[in-house]
Amino acid sequence: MTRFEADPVGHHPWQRVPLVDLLDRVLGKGVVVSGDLAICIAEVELVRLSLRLLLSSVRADLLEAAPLTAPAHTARGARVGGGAGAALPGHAAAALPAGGADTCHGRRAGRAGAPPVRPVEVDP
Amino acid sequence: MPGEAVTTWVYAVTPEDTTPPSGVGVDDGPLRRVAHAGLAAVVSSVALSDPDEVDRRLRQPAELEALARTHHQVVTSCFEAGPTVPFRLATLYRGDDGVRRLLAERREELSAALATVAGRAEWGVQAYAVAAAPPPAEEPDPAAGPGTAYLLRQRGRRLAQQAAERAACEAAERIDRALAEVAVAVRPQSTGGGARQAGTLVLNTSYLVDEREQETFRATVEDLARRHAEVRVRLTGPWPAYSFVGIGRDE
Repeated sequence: MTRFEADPVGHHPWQRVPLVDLLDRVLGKGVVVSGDLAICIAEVELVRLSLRLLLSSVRADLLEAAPLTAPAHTARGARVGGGAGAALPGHAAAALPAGGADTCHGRRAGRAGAPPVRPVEVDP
Repeated sequence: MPGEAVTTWVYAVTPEDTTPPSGVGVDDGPLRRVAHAGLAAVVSSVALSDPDEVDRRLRQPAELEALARTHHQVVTSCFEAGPTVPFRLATLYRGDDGVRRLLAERREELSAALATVAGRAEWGVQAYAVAAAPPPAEEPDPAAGPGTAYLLRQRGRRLAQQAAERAACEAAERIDRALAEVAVAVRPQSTGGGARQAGTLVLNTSYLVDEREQETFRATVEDLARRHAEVRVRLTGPWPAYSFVGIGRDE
């Protein structure tokens, strides 16, 4: 079975796992436990990096049609576990509180973690 | 070198009675397992003992991509062999004893997570609002000046766009409800996640789906996509259940 396939109505035969989907999962999900080495993952930095990676792989006309700075304002409130499952802020980096950007795991996990960025409610 | 500290990179936890992984992980370190009381952590040794060095590598796009892809590849090979609880990128221990301690201390949670994900896979579904069609050109009012006509056109465009996004949100809710019927569990994601395509992201949700329901799930997504022209739907998967292991996020 093909591991990753185009969306049923799309045009992209994904040969590899799309990087942004991948980073979202390996950084924002999975088991987070205190290892012995404190790794401080600056989420804003990583988001910026993932954007840069993305920019190099997306066609210019798509970018024109969907500027990355456009607010994603239509997320619904989380139902299962809420903000815990939505820890990687993704393109909403600008919404992160200043100074709360670093999420550390490892020994520093308890005190330096940024609050999870919760999806904004839909306008009624 | 005798006495030198070895750092252990943890990829995932599996039941001890599944096939041990073969091949290599990060920096070509051979994969092996650290087992304790029925659980086996899939690990490899890495020459990374300085946290700052790891930080530095994670901040370089090419390195980050390589590490993420390698990590994911190992997690995926475990997932293909049996129940797998994926760990976050760059979970590191100074030697295997720390990993053994982890398996002992978190045994119940890890076992529960394994039970949740066994025989199931994660599917990501995203829906994007389709841009509004331009409003039909109205007969120009001879009394109105060019400025008024321009403002009216702008207003028409804005209203059409708002209507399109509202319709897309409603479609997203219907799609989500239908998929939740097939899935075992549902977890909404950040709307920032996922590959960006044209249009506002109105649905970005992971669904945990039983192995025997995978084809039904895919067919349901396709059918829903066909029936909802207001959105363009994107499906990725099957993923190891990254979004459904729920350990450690709330500590």
